[in-house]
Amino acid sequence: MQKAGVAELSPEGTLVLPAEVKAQLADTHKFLVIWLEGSVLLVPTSVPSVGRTKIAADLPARLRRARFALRRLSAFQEAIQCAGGSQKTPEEIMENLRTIRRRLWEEEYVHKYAHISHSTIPPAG
Amino acid sequence: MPISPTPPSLLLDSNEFILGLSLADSASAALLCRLVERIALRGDILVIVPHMVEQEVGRNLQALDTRLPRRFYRLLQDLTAQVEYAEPPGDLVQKYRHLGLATEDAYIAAAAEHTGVRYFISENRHFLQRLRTDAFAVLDAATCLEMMDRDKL
Repeated sequence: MQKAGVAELSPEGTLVLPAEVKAQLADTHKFLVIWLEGSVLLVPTSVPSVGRTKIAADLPARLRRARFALRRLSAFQEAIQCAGGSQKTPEEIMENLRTIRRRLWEEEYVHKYAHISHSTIPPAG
Repeated sequence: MPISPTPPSLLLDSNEFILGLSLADSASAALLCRLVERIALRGDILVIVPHMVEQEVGRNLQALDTRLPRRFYRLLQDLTAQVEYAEPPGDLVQKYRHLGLATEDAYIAAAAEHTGVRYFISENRHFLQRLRTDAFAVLDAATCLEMMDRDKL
């Protein structure tokens, strides 16, 4: 996608498109509506001009990529759930990560920054 | 010399990955979904992951199940994330140490400045409350999502 813009929905339910988009889609009356995780996509069902054909040709591949990636993310979250990863509270997760970061720092990084003062973690904010 | 990526760039802290992957109803989970989708559809945002964050997430997942880190690398691919191996200079780490961060957190903040990211995304309250810098903006996942909703990011 090369450009993005804002279209307003009137109280009557009419989608008010920017003039530039309206001119490009002058002969388009139907759109395919695609609901994704964080957005709704309107894809023209007819794409007579070369420019629009190019956009339409590119879009299915991007949509497919988005769908597969979201599916993989969802499967990853399920796998973590099955492994017991979701049984911790956010506070426990944060504490665990703090411990890992401190340990990692001491094991692999501290010797590279020997001249820096290494006092303990400041009081919790 | 810091590298300055041209598209809006954000550095994800390890807690965004682990909270987002473990707690499906968290803002971090919503952010991961939004980023994966946006990068696939528009590809107009650059995700940076310091090597230390990569290691932390890997260790955390490894402790749950040895097969999980592989999926993490696939997620990094889907995010077209750039894993940053360049280490920040000591004086930059010291700068953030002086701002009140623990040394290991100061290292991550220094890595953010060194990489030239515009946004540093974390749920760590030490970063959110204490880290005041002109080098980058510190946001939590919810604020980052709000900005994306308002086309500010």
